[in-house]
Order: sequence, then structure tokens, then C-alpha cells
Amino acid sequence: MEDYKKALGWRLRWDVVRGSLPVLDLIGCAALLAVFWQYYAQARALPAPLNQIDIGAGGFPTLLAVATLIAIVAVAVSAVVRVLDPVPVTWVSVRRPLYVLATVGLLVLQSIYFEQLGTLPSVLMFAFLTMLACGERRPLHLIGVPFALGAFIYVVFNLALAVNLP
Amino acid sequence: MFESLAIGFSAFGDPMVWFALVFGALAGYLIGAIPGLGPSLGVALLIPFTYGMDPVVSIVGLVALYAAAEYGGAITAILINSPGTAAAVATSWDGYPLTQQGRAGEALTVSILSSGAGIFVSTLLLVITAVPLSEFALRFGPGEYFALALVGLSLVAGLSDGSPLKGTVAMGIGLALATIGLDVQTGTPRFTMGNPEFFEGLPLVPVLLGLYALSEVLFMIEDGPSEKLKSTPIGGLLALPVKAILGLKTAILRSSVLGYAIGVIPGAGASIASFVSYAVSKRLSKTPEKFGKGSLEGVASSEAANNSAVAGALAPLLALGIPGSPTTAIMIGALMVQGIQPGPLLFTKSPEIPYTVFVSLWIGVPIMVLIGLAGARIWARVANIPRPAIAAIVAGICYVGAYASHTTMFPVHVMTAFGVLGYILRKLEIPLAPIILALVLGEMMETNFRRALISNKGEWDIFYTSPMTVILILIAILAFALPGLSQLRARRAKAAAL
Repeated sequence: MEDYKKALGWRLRWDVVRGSLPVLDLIGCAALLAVFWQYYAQARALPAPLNQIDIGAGGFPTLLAVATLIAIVAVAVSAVVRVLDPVPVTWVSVRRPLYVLATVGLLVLQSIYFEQLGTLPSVLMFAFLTMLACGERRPLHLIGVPFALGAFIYVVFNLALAVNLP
Repeated sequence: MFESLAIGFSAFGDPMVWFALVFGALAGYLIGAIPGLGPSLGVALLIPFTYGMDPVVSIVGLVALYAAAEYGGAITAILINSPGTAAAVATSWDGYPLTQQGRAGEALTVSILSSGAGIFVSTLLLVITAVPLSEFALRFGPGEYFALALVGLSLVAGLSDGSPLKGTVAMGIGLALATIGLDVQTGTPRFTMGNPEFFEGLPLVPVLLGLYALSEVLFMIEDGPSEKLKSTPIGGLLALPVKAILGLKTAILRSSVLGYAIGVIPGAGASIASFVSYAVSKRLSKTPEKFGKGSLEGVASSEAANNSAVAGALAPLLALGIPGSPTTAIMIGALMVQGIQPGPLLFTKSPEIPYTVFVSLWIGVPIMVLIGLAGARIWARVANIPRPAIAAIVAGICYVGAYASHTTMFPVHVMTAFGVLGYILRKLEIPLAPIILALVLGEMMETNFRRALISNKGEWDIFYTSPMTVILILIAILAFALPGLSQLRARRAKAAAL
């Protein structure tokens, strides 16, 4: 059994990043509180209803924001209780964190340059890079799969479904 | 009803419907057999292929994929002890020991036939219950509809994996996302950040692709390249163990009914159905000692139940417009893309949709059994497809599918954002199912909430004077509270034991 005090905070190794779930919950709750507070403020700022018996465009979102803020606070409280509790905490691990981060970067790049590059070049290039990030090193697979995927997409979307792809 | 069923049968005069059924079944087996890819991801990935298709053709393909993915999950569970879907975990408890005893073929045959029987029986129950349920729902006013949507969401939030509190937060996130865009009643832009592309709300299909499929790509990257699995000899396949199957008929029938009943409850789903049926069969079995060591009864109970849950989950979707599982929530998205709103009016406005679904489930049974038995050796090898290749294929289809949904870049950006968000939420153990369900039901929920208040001249007592609304709201409160209390009790017991 792991000492719960050791479970707090982050442990960084080159192949895995680990953090205790209650601590991550608190960070997540802080982010969600900020988002939903902003949502609440915007909902309150929406125009009042013209019809007195309606709650208007902002009525439902305001109620929703209040309910969700309460739920977020409850999650945060439960995270604090778990940190103080003698029951061992759950760990969250991100394995191969650098590759995951690189893939997030690849996905963002693909979403930016998809149209400029064109569907097929974009699919070929990013499929190759995704496989590489996932640990594939066999040249035949690295070349064959993107080409097969490109051909499949061309046949199905362009020819069969007549979708106008860039 | 028989006239309406005839409409369903007549749809099969179109070869495209047959094509959709066979293609959906093949794709479902493929996805079900790959550990980690479940029916939700499969249905989300298939949606882009349905753009521009006839709604009947597309729904047949999606339902076939959903059912076949549940079948397919059992194959790898039996052969390599690696369940393709969560619902096949109970199947592996007896399926894999049977494989170790050299009875893999027998286990596969029983699992596939039990799955077929489960779908057949549960579809019969679906036909019998869905139509009266939709007729009953026609009497609902806006207050009851709001409460019904709340029940669906609270059951999914309460029963989802992990903490019910996090399920509630997930529900709040989904409902908040559903409010983005122009207000339906006043036309006021809400939470659009001044960007006109948000006026129509978040595009549903890219959100689904991002949360379910693209986030899975990041999990695959984490897992790295897969190791090649040891191939298993499948002896005795197609040699029908008739006597054994006849001896299992009671267990299959009982599990089918139980699986259907559990499948109807929003949030319960195929996994809970298979676990409960397995436990019930073990308790009622004449040979409970064989369970866990290679019992055909265990395999049959789990498989009949998890496939029956498919039809069960379709009942609230078709009759009430309330999805019973994440997969049916995604399916609702596919129908909405086609301009079809599931719910009680579906049976009168577009009867061809629900009745073709019923008929396709029946016609699909022999097709899926044949594909399952004939292709068992192939499906077993599917688990060996290298993970990097699957990651690249899933990501590629996501991008093309998102772009094709509106032929603009906006959905591509939305999908990428939700892919990363989905990964973070799953890491924080925040369930995705309530987000999807809330996103799908949000507009309906808000509209009915406001209509109820307007119809009652702004008085809130409409939510506590109608008996049906009160019952539904009480169910919703219990669905939130009970799982939370039981978790708290379990935690206290654990702390006391330390």
C-alpha cells in the first residue's frame, strides 16, 4: 500500500507522467469553476424576456450554471476529502507523454492545414506521422497504410459518396 | 402493427438496404473484435459514410454495426482472453477456459447462436413494447417531457463509470454545450463569442467524432505499438453442438428477457446486462461450480444478454427520443443529421424508420450468425492489426468525416478541440456518455422546460402538481442520489478496514 502523502503532486519519469487523481480533480475543478462562472455571467447578461411568463434566453443557462457550479464544488470537496482520507488515492498516468504531446500538436496542425494541403496529401502525411508517433518503425507499414487509407478515402468519399473534398 | 411491419419488410426490396446491412455487420465485427474499439466509436466513425444516403439505408447500417460489434467483442474474449468490448468481459470468464480446454469452436458457436437468439427475442419484445410506449408518450405535456429527459440524463450520469458527482458535472458540460447558438425561441445569440459559425450550435457529428474517436487515437499513442497475439487453433467450429444448445434454451431465453429489460434503462447498457444475467444464471444453474471454469451456460447467458440490450437500448430511443446508451445517443445524432427526430411522433410521421429497424434486426440475425461463424478465424486475427495502423486510420476518417459534414473547416477545428478535451476528461475519469446525451437532449429539454412554464403562466408548480412529472423527477433524484450514497458507504467500509 502506498503512503497517501507520497501520492500527492506529480512524479515525472521520462516514459510516464503520473499524478494523483484528487489533485488533478482539484485542478480540473478550478478550470471548470472559471469556465462556468464565465458562463453564468454571460447567461445573466442575456436580454430579459419580453414575455413576463417566459424565463428568457438566459433563464435556463443561469439555472444550469448554478446547478453545475454546485456539482463542481461538490467534486472539489470530495477530492479534498480523498486527499485527507487514509484510503490510498488513485493514480492517473500518461504513458509516452512526449509522443502524446507531439500527436496533439500533429492533430492541431492537421486541423489548420487540412484545407491548404488538400485531403489526400494531408491524410498521407499525417497518417505517416501518427503511425510514427504510435511507435511503428517498419518502413513497409509506414508507407503502405497511409497509401491504402488515402485510396480508401478517395474511393468512398470522392467516388462513391461524391463529397467535395479539398 | 402488421401493416407497419410490412413497410419495414418492403424496405428490403432496395438492394442498398441489403448492402447497408451486410456492410454494417462486417464493419461491426471488425470493430468489435479489436480490443479498445467499441460500438460507440464504430457508430461515430460510420456516420460520415451515411451523408447523403437515404435515412432508412443509413439507420439499417448503423443498427447492424451496433449489433455486430456486440457479437464481435465475444470472439477475441473467447479466443485470446481479450474482450473486444466491455460487454464481452463476462463472456471471457468461461469462453477463454473453454479455449484452453481445446473447445474454442464450441464456445464460439454457442456464443454466436446465443447472440442471435438474444437479438431475435429482444426484437420481439421491442416491437411489443415500443409502439405502446410511444402511444403512451403522446399524452405527455412539456412538463412530463422535461422530466423524462431529466430522468434519462440522471440515470446515465448516476450509472456511468466512476463517481456520480462527476457524471453530474459531465451532464452540466453537455447541457451548457447544447445552449451554444441562437436561442430557439427568441433568436438571441448565446455563448457564440461573436463567431457566426456558432449560431447554429455546435456541429454534433464532429463533436461525437472528437470525443469518441479522436480521443481514442491519443490513448492508442500512449499504448504504443501492440504485441502480436498468439493465434489459437479453432477446432470444432460449425460442428453444431445441438444437444448442448437445446440444453441452454432456458438460460438463453431468461438472459434475453433480462438483457432487454436492463437495456431499456438509460445508462445501464450491455455490460451491466451481461454481468447481471451471468450472475442470475450462475445462481439458478444446476452446475454453478462450472461457472468460471468453462461453462457453456455462462457464455450463452452473457452473450444473449449483451445482445438483447442492443434492442433494449433502441426502445427509449425510438419510442421516446431518449437514448438508452452512448451508442444510441450517437445514433440519434446520425438521425438528426438526416433531419429525423426520434420520439413518439416517429411512428406516425416516419413509420418506415422504426419498422425497418425492427425488421433489419430480425433479418440481420441469420446474416450475422453466418458472418460470425464463417469468418471466426478472420475476426480472431483482426485483433492483430497493428495499433499504429488503427490509430492512423481512425484519425484519417475523423478528419475527412468532420470536413465532409459541412464541407468547411469549422467542424474540423471543433472535432480537434473535442478530441483533446475528450482525452483530458477521460483521464480525469469524467464520463463522456452524459456529455453526449445532454448535448443531444439539451435543446429538447430547455424548450419543454420553457414551454411548461409558459403554459402554466410562469408558475413553477407545474413541476410538482402533475403526478407523472413528480414520479419522473423523483426517479431522477434517486438516480443521482443512490449510486452516490452506495459509493460513500463502500468508501467508509474501505477506510474502516484499514
